[in-house]
Amino acid sequence: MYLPKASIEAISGAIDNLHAGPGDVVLVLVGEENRPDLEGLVSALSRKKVSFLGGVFPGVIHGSRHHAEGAVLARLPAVGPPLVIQGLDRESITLPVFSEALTANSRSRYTAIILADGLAANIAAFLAELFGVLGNTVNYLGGGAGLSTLRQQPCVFTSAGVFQNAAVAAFIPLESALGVRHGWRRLVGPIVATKTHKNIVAELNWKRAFDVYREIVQRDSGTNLTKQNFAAVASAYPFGIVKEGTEDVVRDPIAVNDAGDLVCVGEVPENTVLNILKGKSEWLIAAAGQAASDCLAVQGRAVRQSLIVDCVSRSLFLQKGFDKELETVTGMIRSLGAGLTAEGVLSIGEISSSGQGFLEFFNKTIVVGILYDA
Amino acid sequence: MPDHDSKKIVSDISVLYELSLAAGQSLDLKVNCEHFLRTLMSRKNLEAASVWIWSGRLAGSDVAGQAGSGAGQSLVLVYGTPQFRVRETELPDTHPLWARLAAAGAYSLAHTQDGFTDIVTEKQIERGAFAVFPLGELGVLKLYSMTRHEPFPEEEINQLKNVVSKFTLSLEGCLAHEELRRDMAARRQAEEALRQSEEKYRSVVERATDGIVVLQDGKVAYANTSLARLAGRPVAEIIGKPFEQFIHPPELPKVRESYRLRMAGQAVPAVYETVLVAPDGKLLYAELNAGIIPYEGKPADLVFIRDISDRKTSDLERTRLAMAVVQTADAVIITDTAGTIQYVNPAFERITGYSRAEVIGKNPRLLKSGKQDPALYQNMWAALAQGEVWRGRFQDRRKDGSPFTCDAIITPTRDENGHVVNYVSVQRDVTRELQMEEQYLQAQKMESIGRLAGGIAHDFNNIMTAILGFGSMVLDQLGENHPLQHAVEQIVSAGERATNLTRQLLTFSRRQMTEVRILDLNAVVTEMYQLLRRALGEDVELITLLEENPASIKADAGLLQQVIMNLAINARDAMPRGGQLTIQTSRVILDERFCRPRVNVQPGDYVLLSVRDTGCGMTKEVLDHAFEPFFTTKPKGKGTGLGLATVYGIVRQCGGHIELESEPGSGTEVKVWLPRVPTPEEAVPVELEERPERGRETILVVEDEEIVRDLTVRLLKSLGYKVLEASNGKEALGLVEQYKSPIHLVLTDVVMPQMSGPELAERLQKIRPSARLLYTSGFTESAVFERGVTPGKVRLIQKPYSREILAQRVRETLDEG
Repeated sequence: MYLPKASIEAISGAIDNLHAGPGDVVLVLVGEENRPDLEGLVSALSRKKVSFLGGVFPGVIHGSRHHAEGAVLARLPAVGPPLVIQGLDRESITLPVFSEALTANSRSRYTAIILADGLAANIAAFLAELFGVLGNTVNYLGGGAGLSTLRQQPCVFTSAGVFQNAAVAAFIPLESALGVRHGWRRLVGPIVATKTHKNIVAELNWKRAFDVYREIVQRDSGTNLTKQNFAAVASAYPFGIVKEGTEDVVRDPIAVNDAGDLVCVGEVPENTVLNILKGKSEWLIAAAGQAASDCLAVQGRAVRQSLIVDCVSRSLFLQKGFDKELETVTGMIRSLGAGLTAEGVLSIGEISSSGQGFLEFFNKTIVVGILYDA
Repeated sequence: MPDHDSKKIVSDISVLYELSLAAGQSLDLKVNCEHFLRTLMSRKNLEAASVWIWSGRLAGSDVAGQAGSGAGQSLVLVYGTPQFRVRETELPDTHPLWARLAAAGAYSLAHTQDGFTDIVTEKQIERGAFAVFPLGELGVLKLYSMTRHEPFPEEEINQLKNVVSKFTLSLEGCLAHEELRRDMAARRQAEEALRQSEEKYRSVVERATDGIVVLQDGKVAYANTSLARLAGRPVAEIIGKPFEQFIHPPELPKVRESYRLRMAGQAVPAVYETVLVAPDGKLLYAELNAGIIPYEGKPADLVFIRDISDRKTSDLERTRLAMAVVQTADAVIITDTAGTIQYVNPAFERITGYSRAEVIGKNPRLLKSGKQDPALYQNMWAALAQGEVWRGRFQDRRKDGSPFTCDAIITPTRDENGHVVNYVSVQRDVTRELQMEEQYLQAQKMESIGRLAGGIAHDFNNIMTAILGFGSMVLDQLGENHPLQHAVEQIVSAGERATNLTRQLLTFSRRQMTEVRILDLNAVVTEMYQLLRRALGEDVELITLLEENPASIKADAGLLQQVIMNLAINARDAMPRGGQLTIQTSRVILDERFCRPRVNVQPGDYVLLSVRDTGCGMTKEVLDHAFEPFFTTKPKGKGTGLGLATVYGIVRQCGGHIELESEPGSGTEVKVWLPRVPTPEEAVPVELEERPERGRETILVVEDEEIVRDLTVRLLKSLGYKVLEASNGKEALGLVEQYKSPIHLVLTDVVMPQMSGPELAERLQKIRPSARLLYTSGFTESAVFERGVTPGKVRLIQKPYSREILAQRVRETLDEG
């Protein structure tokens, strides 16, 4: 359900219409523009005695359209109330106790919907911890919340409150088909991130990271890379972390700090072997189509919900082409059943387990998830 | 030429490079595993991984947990991810996972191959592929991919072998580090435990109230503050000094020897007491508890010193109190509040004759004589019930039935809450004191009476000397048939009776002149037998039972005869219808026990004279007054009341003791104890020789009483002597100087004004050394002795004297060689 105006009253009223029961959770995805006061929203929704989790994103997707304003609501069945995991900016992350039902049966696979503060420094570590506990007993689907200005502020919420440097999660007792693709291709590599700290890359190939990066980008783009135009230029030249059997895991350099370090969305472990990637609209749109295609194996299943987590940087990169990407994806999803509308968010980083593999935090990637009854 | 995909090679190299750098990122085993395996799983898109280490390499490790505690080697899971997959945590060394690895080295199995399920140690794995690598000698690395349907390619296995070997080395480092950390932690823990232990013991030692000192090489190596307090000087002044500084010098040899023997390894008592001395000289009693300990690498003597001065004082006090209670002459009885005896002391046993065992648990009423007024007990209990101290006198009875009197103080004793819990009765046996007091009062009374009688008798004697003297002279002059002869004879007779009476009074008061000789009492009785026989009359049977051995005593024979005669006469009078009189002599020894309750009786050898009759006996009242002068039970005119009084006086004069035992109707026994003396061969009564009474020698009579002097001069002249007379000593000396002829005898009064008889005698001795000396005196013998007359050296005539006695004594004196 898409609400063009994401007022508290509108969201509150819409939730009433969803008729969520005690075993349900309502996913509340809010676009950053004209967003409601989150505390007020939480307070209003809490009075309804409905489980909910949500976040503020650069945009929301409904069908083949994306909107910076408005909200997308989805009612889903849930195992227990949503969880809040705080401290994603810390070295050590304490996970809550998960329901034993999640790992009791190998036959029934649950899907974890995870919304995290996309600008938290330790998202990847959090996901690794989470995978270290649950492994691939569940499928993971989610994305990084936050504002497109990349100014961090409280952006995820449940009835417990609004949080920054935190993640909220709900376990949905539905199977899921996941497609994770980005379409970026290797331009230069390998390059070693010889000195990093969390999402900060200080050195590449034992040299100042910005110098190395700038030299490569300037050579390819012909544009003089400066701190001022970094975001615009670098959005076309992300890093790729080598991952066997799949596309590289993308890390998006979004800024240069005063020290000349590159600031990424998501951690880059020290000594990570990187490639500098380059994208073209057609590659990215094709990849998005492939992601949707990866989910078509569920044809014939009772599909309950389709969710798209598409990186906001892709929309910036693709510009008008982004609509084509969404149309491509939604068109394929529609083929799974009449009336099935793709909904989702423009995210700051994407969360998925690459099918049934290792759980990762991606950038500049589209994750398509189809939730269906087992 | 084989396919050469340079991009793939670069990609593989990139991944291997990254993996090789991911190994050993931490010295913590789990963190190291996490870093390496997270990178490995991410880059290889693996779903699970686990690290197993042989239990032997994990001994003592934190990660070992309870695993690996079995007897054999086992593989212990030290890291497994994801956690929900973990099923087995320990595998035996026979497990196929290891068996296959031991046989073939690193391998991979897909679910399509045999043996796949054998090596599944995780939950919910039915498909996919495992890759298993040896971790050198450490254990096994197990990787799992769910998405693979074929085994890991050999190429990939070989690539990973190199990385895994690096990872193995890093694990070795982790284990070594952990072991080192463990060792260091253990050492720190041990050091901390030691520090805490030392701190604890130091605290204990420093806070101990006992003095604690460590002696090494004879010097103080350590001392706590309590010791410093005991020693009265700061610790700093004690350390390094010889331990002798604390010891009271007289105790030093004992303490030194104990220390020497202990340090030499010999068995000596660990605990002993000694005396310490503070710098100010103050002594304190201490209990030492010493033992050998190692101290700073050398044996030392650890000594605990406890100040037991208070305890010692308390013990001494308690001991003193206990000894006082035990040794006191007073009986101590402790009862409970019901009066049940809980304790009696030895004095109680001695006084009452009851043993402690006989009275514990009994009531003190067992001592009751029945003669006590019940009101006394009522008053006593009333006082005690009010918690008051009660004082009183009990008339009690000993175990043998004999009565005794005791003065008692009964004190309630209270517990700390003020409740009366006991009564303590202190009882003094005053039986003897009462007897002594009675005897003393009796003796005092007798002495007073004697003194009075003696005083009267002196003046009376002078008068009677004149009456008898001149009476005798008148009779001589009158001749027979003179009409006044009878009257004068009556005067002389009455005078003699009066003289006799006076003599008895003096005898009673022991102031008569005596001639003490060593006598055999048996001989005296034997000599008197016929006389007694006649005096007793025919109705009284006289029995004598005499001691076989000589019964030698020192006495005046005449007085002794008087004693026997008086007692015999009293016995006769007590047996008007006849009876039996037994006179018995025996040699006895009077011991302390006999003498203690008797005044003026000393232990020693005695001769016992017993005069026992079968007469009417005496009542107690009579017995109480029997020795008093002029006390008589005889009809008026039948007795003078001086018989027993005279006997008493004579016995006492002889240093003896007399007692009466009599009960009405049971006769009377008079017991006379006289000090026995060694028996000389001639110890027999001296018979008086007949001597010529007349003479012609010159005699100087010195007498201040004119009537006596006149009588004496007349008597001596009537006896043929030439007589010179003087009224005092000065006159006598003048006469002697003027008189040039010999003066053979000086007869002088002892007590005279201006110059006494002995003083005169002394002067005359210088002028007329040949003159003999004869004293006369109406005073008692003691009074004479007090005036310088040495007993036994000179002769003395007791006034009043008869013409016969004067003639006899003068002649004896003149005739003495």
